[in-house]
Amino acid sequence: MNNTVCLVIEITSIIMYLLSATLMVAKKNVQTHGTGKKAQENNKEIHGTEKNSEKLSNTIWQIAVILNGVIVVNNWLVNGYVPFVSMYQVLTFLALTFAPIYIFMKYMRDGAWMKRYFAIASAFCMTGVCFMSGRGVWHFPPALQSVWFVPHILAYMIAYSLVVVAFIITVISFLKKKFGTQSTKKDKETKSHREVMDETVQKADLGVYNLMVAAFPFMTTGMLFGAIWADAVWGDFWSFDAKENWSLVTWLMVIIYLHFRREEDLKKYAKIFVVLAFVGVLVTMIFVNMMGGSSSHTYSM
Amino acid sequence: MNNKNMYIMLLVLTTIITGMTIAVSIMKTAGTEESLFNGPAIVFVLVAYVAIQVLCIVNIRGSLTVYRIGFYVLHCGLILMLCGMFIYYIKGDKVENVSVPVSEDTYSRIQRASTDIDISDEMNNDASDDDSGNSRDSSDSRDSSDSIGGNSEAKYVELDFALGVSSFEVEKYEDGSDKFYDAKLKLVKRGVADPIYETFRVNHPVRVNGWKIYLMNYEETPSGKVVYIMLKNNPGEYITLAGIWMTIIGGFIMCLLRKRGAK
Repeated sequence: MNNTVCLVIEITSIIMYLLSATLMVAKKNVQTHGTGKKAQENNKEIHGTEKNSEKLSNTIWQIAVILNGVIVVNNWLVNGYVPFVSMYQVLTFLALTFAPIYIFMKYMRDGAWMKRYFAIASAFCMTGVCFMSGRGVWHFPPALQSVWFVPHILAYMIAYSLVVVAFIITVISFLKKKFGTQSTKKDKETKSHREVMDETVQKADLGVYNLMVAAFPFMTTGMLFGAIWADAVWGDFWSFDAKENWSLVTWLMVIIYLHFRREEDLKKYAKIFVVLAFVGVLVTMIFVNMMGGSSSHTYSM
Repeated sequence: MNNKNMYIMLLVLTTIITGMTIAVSIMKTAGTEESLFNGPAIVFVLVAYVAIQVLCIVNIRGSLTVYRIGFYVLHCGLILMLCGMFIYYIKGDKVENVSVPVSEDTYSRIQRASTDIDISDEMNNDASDDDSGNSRDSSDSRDSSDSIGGNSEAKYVELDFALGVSSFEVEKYEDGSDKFYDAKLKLVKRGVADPIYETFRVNHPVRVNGWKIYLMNYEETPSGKVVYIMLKNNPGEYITLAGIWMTIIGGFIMCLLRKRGAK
């Protein structure tokens, strides 16, 4: 596939991801109160519309995932190795990682409601992909020809995707909490609205916790597999390279979140560390490469 | 110490590490090559991390659940990992950027902080029966027997075996960048007449008498190919590796095998 075809597929998948997320938001429950026949019919109708909307959203999401997968497979075939070398390849794969992780969260951690956030995260990554050069053949340098190459990066991809979704949910629930309750203060239904809002915030809080808990072992694995690999290739488990240091900082942010979340007095500050962990992910993945200097991780520039 | 104070201590240490990382990143962006992570400050921070892990283990209460087993494995793993690093910091040794010409010659004296092996010091295979696996540093190549170990100013490391690179093959991409390269490492152990040949590649260091030998790079000079190697002696390696695997396994037990919705 040439670059233009790739770009068209990437843009289409972004649109599909966003459309799917939008349809999931649109199906938000707007049930009619009351016990009358008309109210029941209305609710039934709304329920039916919601189901159709969900089906459509699922289909669109699946198409987006397939398109994203086509790009990943193309990268794989063109290069002849698992496409984790350039930032373009990594981001394309990262966007695809959200789908299986969502499935894990849905079945293992009651996370079906998180689907739209996963779709937004995929769209976010694919948008980055569109601005990147590096489509086509990338050479596979001898230092990357290791058994640790795939597990190290795959573990990081999983961890980073979980942190990105946790960040999106944190920000959206914060915005909802901040601006969602003010408009209905004087409303008669304020109390019930507030209760619903509190429930939503609590659900988001638990969701973020579940995501961060799932992210931690993968981030640890990614980092420590990297250390074992570094010992084999550079002769040091840890050489305090810029990328290594920033990945350590990100890992520490996740650790502090998990610890603060357990302590009642510190719980309220925990979410700050979700945001900081996301900042850490951005710096580790993107900004360290832009810094120049003498990072050993310069293959992804 | 209660949990809250412990977590705040963890935050303080993390803030120090983050501050150092930001400072180093800024320095690197500005073109300064100095690193804050080589001095005693980082050792202090790591010791403090070990102390927190120990406190965590002492402080935990409750029945022995799967979660708690994971907790012990993870925290003990972290302690082991850091202990392994300290052992390397105290007793380990590394000789970097050693250039070896591709030939049948072998060398037992390796020069530090320079790019050349002392070619004049070829090994005599019958020289000694000593096969203890230890190396000697000498402050001066001409009277090496006067100085033994622990001298950071030492210019040479004397190995109890001799090494050389007998052949080197490189495969390139069309644009001239490296696709693959490997070498044959020739090793002559004391008291053993026949040399041993090991295939030597990037990502595949060779182990000899406690040393790990790494193929780092190569150069094509008018007089022939020169291979850059690194030698490392890390007595804490297996402790670090045990710690790494325990941390990974403990993390998975704690986080993924916990009950659904459990906090």
